Amino acid sequence: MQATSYALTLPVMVPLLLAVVIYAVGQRSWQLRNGLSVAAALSSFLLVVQHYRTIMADVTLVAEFPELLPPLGVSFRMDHLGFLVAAVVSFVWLLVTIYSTAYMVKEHAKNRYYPFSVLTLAGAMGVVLSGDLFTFFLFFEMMSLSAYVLVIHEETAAAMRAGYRYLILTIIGGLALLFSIIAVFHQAGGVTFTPGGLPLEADGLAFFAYLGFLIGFGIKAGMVPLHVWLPEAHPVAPSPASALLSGLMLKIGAFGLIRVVFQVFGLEMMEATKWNDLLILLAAITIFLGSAVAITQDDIKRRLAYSSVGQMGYILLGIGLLQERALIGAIFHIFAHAFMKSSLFLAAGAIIYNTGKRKVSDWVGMGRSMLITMSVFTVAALSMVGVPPLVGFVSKWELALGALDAGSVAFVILLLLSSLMNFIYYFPLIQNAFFGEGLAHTAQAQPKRENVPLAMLVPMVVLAAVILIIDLLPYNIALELAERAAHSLFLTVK
Amino acid sequence: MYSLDLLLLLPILLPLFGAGLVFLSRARKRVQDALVVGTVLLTFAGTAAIYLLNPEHRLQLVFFHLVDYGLSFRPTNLGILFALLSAGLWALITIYAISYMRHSHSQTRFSSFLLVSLSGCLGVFLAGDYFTLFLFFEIMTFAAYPLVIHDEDDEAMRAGDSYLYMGVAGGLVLLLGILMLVWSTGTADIVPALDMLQGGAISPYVVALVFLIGFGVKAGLVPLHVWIPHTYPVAPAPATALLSGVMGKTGFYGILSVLTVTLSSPLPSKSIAAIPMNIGFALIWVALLTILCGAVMALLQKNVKRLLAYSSISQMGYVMLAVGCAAYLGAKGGLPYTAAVFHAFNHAVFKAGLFLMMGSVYMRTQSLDLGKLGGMAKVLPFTALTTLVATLAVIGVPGLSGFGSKKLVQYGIEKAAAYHGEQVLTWIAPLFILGSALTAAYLIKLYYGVFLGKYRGQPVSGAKEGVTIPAVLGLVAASIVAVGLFPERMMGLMSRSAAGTVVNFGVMTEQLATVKLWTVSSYTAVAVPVAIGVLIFFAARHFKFGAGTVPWWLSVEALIYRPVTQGFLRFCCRYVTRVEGGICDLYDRSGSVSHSVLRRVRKLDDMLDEGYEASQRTTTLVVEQARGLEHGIEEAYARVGHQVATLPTGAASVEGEITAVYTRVGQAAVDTTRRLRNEAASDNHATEQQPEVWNPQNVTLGSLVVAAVMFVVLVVLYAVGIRVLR
Repeated sequence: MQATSYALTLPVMVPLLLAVVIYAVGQRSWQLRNGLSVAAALSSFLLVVQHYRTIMADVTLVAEFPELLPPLGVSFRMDHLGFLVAAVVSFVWLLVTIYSTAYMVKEHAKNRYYPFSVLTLAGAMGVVLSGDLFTFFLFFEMMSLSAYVLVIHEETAAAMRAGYRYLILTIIGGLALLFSIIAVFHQAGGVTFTPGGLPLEADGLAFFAYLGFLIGFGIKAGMVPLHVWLPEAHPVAPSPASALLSGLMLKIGAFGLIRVVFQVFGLEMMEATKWNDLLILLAAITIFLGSAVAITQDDIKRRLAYSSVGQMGYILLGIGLLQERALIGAIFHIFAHAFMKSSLFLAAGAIIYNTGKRKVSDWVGMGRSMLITMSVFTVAALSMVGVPPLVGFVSKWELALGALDAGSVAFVILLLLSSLMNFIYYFPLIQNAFFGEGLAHTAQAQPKRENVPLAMLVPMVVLAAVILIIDLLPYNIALELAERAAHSLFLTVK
Repeated sequence: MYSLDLLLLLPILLPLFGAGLVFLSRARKRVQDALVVGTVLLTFAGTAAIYLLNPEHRLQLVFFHLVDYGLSFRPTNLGILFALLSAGLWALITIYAISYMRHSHSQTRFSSFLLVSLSGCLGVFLAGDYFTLFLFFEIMTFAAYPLVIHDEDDEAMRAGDSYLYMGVAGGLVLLLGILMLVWSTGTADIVPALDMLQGGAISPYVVALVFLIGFGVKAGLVPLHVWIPHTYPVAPAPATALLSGVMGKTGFYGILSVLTVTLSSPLPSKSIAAIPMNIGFALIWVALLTILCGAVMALLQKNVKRLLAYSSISQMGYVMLAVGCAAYLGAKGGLPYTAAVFHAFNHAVFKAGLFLMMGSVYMRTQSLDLGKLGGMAKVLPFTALTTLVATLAVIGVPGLSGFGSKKLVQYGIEKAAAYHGEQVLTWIAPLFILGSALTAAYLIKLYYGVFLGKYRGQPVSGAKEGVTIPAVLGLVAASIVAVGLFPERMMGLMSRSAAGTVVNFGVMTEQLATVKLWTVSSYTAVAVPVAIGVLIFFAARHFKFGAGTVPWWLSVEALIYRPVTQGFLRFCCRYVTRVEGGICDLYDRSGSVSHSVLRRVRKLDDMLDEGYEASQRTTTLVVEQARGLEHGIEEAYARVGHQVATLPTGAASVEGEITAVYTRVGQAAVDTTRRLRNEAASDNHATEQQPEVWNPQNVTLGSLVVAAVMFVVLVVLYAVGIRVLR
């Protein structure tokens, strides 16, 4: 069922306009600037969740502006998938923005950081709520380009280098997307996301369009071998920005892939052509490579970045398997990983903020001095490993069952092996932080007190609490939405 | 029944709640101790209530929408029995731990995690499906980690790694098994599922293998036992007692559930019935290997707790042997089933007790080295007595708990060997006796080394035990004796736990009725291995056999685990990182390649530029030269023009000369004429004067030059004209 609601544009337009206001205000009052940044994310979140009842009644909201930017026009759309991802993105953005008001105090160029952060939010919301490929592309580029400013915020040589790499790949990805969109438009005569897919023919052009989407979204999602910008860009950005990049922006790539696979090409066509095999193969490589390389990294943020690569592989695998349960796992993992990786980056950020220690091996005894931060880190890390009843377990469970549905035990073993590898690279951190303090050869001076502002602690604790509790609630909203989203994406076929 | 259902949550939530309170009351030691003891006692009471209120009834409680399955608690008789045993032992050990850990560091941590792992352990036994079981299994594994590494020295941390990595890997394998089961049957419930597994995409053998590995790590099946000899010696005595006595039993519980419930069928056809039989057959041999390896290794140990760790492995082998026989016999496996449960029960009590007793020795001596200990019977007479009881119970002396269960295991083997007449199975009996003899030998070595002989170590410290520790040890010993005196009653109790399994109750009752424990033959069946054991002990002492160590390279760890894990990590670190580096390199190189391409292009551009410039220069040169030529030509023209311009003057002068010549000639002629006329007139002049004609002498040199020049100019003009016209 569809209904028109022009309120859909608000979660996008409010931050978009506020970004300008924040820039103007920021010259005069830092309080107002920070407050407005938080307000932008908060209003975005509230404007999304107000549609909760409508969405749960299985109504798809649309808003079309055909007269804008003819001939394609701009359109917005909110279904289960869009609602879930939009809610996750705006909620985490809200928490991260609150966190950054305290974290960024030590940084320079704050007047540049906040407007661009809000602008990136507007772009991300626009992508998630877009109703056709063209609108998608518009906001996608806006998000990608404004995120560049977040990446190079520190403006060190390494940051500029990473930013350069990010920018080059972003532009290549954007061009690949543009090519594919044109190809789709040429073949199907339209680019609106359509349940069941657009009328495309499985010819060479369509395949190249698919490849273009794979490249464009793969770069954003950190799919091997297009991930190279990611381990460079995440460590150099300020921690809240890393949390946004790793926790949310990567998901936008995966989100786009879901839209394209199920609502542009369509399930039938993907099943008939077996083009998903390429995605599955790349996803498997991504999982293994990301997890394996993470083991060898000593810089905490690089380790987290490679871990993100591996985790994005889960989502891509869930999309590629073309099974309903696997897709539930993928969509749920978008939510789960957004929360887990954000809290990991925020916790790491709090430790860097307090002690300046970026090296994993320097964290010995950290758990005693920074109990809350390390507890958040531990919860999120165990969730990544897939310890029940934390959120990471649920996505792993659904993905594994989906892999079995697809008839492949090998992928289940890969998932579990990757869990073990997650454990291998997270556990020494936890172990060092909490245990073995008596060992003389590892003894290190750690700060006496957990000197972290409340504005940083609260977002982390909220994230960790969600990770810990949401599965134990009698009604798991995220899982329910993921199930409905996957169901509606599959339903259109029959 | 709803309110009664909630009772099931009590043993699980109470310890968690207690752990929170313990953490909060960390500033007040006495309150904390009271909280810990109160919590475990209440938990025990709750579990006992469950046991008493619903011995036959199944309680079900489903809530939490975790995945497709909520958490559910639907304990079987077996589960309730082991939950009760766990809660009871936990209570005893916790009381012991309060005294034992009095002077230790991080007591809050120890106590909290002691309670959390209790919750996990009881959750495993009370779980209604594999999903819930797995959840609590993981909680238990993680919560026990701080107990294992409590000392936090190098050795403890290494052992902790071994424990946790093996535990997590085992947990993941278990998860794989559960996923396979859920996918194949659509339910995670612990119900007969062999019919659905048979003929599915995943073979029941694979499922069984995966489950055996997953639970086998906890149970300590060879070759999955490697973490046990590392972990048990370094953990504090109460933690070891819990690990060995209680937590290890979760592995046994899982394997027994899988083999006798899940991999069974209500109405087995012949092809289906063969599956659990084959699995049981395989398990029997693995169990025998476990018994013998554990016993031989125990005999070789010098550290008391390491010896007991290997003894645990070996004793769990007995339990698994009975489980294998039960699976092999299927519906007729009531007797080995009872034997397995009974022996697991007994092992929990006496092995936990032994670890506690050695703990009390350690409190006095701060040493666990058999080479240094000795003569403790004088210092700790009561501990010596309880240890004697527990040791004899392990050996299986009549009147103590091990006697009945070991005897039952032996009967089970006979039943299995007789069932299908498999010749191979008749080999078990002698190997079983060998195992028992080795058990007797290492236990004599233990007891002799610790309590008899002379004390050889440091002077004994004066730490007093207090009352609680002897009380706990006394309770353990008393229960061993009590069970040993009434084995038939215990057998009846144990056999009830077979409800809901494949076991046929009628057959089981018949089988158990034929068991004759108190006969001379069964005494001799104990005496013979003990006699051999004594011989082995003395032989080993004489040949210093026990003093030797097994070379490291011969252990499973060195042969399999180290190479595999290190190889894998090296693979990750070296090759995958290299691949990753290669990809990054590729990008960088593609950047540099495109740079170099661009540089080439620029060079080409430069070259073109240069070419243009050069051509321009050439052109300029050509033009200049052309201009020069032109200039030359112009000059030539000019000169020619000049020449031409001078020509008329020359010509005029020539003409003037000519005119002058003519004039002169004319003048001369006129003069001549006039003269001639004058001559004629004057006298007809005779001498006629010659008329003056052209005279070369009259041509001047100048006129000649002019003529030549004119000629040259004409020639040149002609030539140029022709050239131009061409």
